[in-house]
Amino acid sequence: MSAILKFFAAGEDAPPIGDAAEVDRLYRLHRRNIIVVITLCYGLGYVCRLAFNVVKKPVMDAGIFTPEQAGLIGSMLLYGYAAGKFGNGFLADYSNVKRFFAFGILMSALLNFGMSLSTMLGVSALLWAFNGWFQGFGAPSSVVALANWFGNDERGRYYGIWSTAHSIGEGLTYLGIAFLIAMPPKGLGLPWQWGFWTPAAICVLAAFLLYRYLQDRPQTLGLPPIAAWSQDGGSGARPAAHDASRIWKDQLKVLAIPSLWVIALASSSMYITRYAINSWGNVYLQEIRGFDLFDANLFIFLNTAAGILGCVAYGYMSDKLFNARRPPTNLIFGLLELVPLLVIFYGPANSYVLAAALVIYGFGLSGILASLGGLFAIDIAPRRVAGAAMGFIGVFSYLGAGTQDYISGKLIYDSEIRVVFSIGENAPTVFFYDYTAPIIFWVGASVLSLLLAASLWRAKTRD
Amino acid sequence: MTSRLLPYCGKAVLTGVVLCAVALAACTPEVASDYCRNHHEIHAQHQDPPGTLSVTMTEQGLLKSELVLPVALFAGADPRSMLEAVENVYSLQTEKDCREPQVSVAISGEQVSAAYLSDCGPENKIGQLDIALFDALPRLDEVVVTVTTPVAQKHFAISRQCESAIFRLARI
Repeated sequence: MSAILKFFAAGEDAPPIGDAAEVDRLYRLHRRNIIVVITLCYGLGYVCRLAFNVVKKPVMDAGIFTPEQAGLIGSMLLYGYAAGKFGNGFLADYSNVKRFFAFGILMSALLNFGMSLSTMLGVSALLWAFNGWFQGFGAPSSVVALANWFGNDERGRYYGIWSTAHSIGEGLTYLGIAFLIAMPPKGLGLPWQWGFWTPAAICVLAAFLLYRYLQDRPQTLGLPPIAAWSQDGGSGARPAAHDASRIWKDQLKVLAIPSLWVIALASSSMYITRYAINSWGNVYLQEIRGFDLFDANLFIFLNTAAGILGCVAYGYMSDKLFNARRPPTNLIFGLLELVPLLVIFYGPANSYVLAAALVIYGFGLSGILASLGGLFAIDIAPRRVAGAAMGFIGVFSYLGAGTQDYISGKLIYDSEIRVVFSIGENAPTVFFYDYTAPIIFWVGASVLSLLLAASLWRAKTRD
Repeated sequence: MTSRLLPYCGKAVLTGVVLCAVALAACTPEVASDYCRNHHEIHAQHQDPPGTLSVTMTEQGLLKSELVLPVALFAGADPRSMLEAVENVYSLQTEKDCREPQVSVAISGEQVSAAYLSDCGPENKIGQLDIALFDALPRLDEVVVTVTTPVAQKHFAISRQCESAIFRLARI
């Protein structure tokens, strides 16, 4: 057991490198590798998280799971993720994120493979819950890597770049995986199991890349802490692993910061909307708007693609236009999320309007999520416990998202009408659903999130 | 320690990959028959038009159904009496009872058409609509169906040869 813990623990400091030019070279090399690999691999890892969303409709149509059961399975992932993000947030502060992150993604790949073999509710829910737990290794590891290798005055920008990973992963899933499952000519028409096998293969690749290119703390390579190297006046990167008791005390202080609780609730509400669209958006577009599986996922992809710009724009706008003050940017991006959301559900039934609304919605949502989901929180919390602050917000966010998935599934299932054709022992069944109640739930959550975020207008940053 | 373990990890991963590949090959489910899988593409080429069924459910709790079938399907039986018996066509599972359905059947040349109206009331919830046509008419192979609810519409075909509905039909 201790050997396993030692394998995942953060490394000891190496003898400092005296040559300033060599320090600069290594810092530049590893910073480039790290931002690329955490963005790319967090995005690739997302495919293993979202696979079930794409196969949900085929699985429901095949009568394997009802919407309520699908919602339950989806919620198990998010609960597992919430627990994982919280626990792993704390663990990430002590760990060698290279090994920690790679292991999480590798396990997620195995669990996706397991999902392809299961049509039993209990087994699928359990596998998906564990998948959520291992998916929770990624975000805290990435944030710890960002805190270790990037300074205060540039963190918004690099955080924005890393946040594009969400959109890369969502895009890959909603286009790539949907292409495999959608019927010809738009897709390959493969059985829904391929919607798990392919993500599993992608995640094995991501685990390899992480193990190869991600790095532990700079000090373990003989480099100075980021604050000393970048001279940004911050409090410095995390202390060495042997200061564990001090880290733990600081981590507990996270819970005593009222603003963090408000951010957690705001983030939780926004995650309700986010995962409602991610989990049920493509099903809604197929059921109510009449799009096929590929087109429905293409629309969801539009929102995620726009999200890439939204993340980066949020980082630059808050850093440059508002001097790293997040609340004004939160308000702008919150409105950019909410207004298109109303157009998507209550606007004209026109494909171009729907596409435009989804693009703007994705832009606004990703921006505000980059803030509420972490950046705003780690501004307010002491930097040495960035992982814990992120984990704390993550728990609330994914509890909201998970509860949403079950409630949405239940509301949708309650409206179910089955048309059953009796043909001897065979009974082809077509299902009809009404999304009126879930939509009110999803939009209401966004309104609440915006109000909570606006209430932190005067919140001050630490460090 | 770690460096000594790594070669074994590599072998373990390789073994795992091989096992996964075997499991994949063994577990890949049979794809639906080509007929069912590709039927949406060739559906428009039907020589004989299949039966059609149109169902509309309204917010007021009305369920209107229109059925058109070739007379030849009835194989000597009286189409009118057969279709006037609503249980041969559909039945409803609702929270409360619906009123007795209104039925009208007309025969025109080679086709028979029937219209049904069930009034279940606005406060009632329709949970399931059971279509019994295929059991009542053994010669019926396929029906093209359009179902419209207050919020959605679906157009599909039901074939005796296929386990599930066939969507994305070219309209004929």
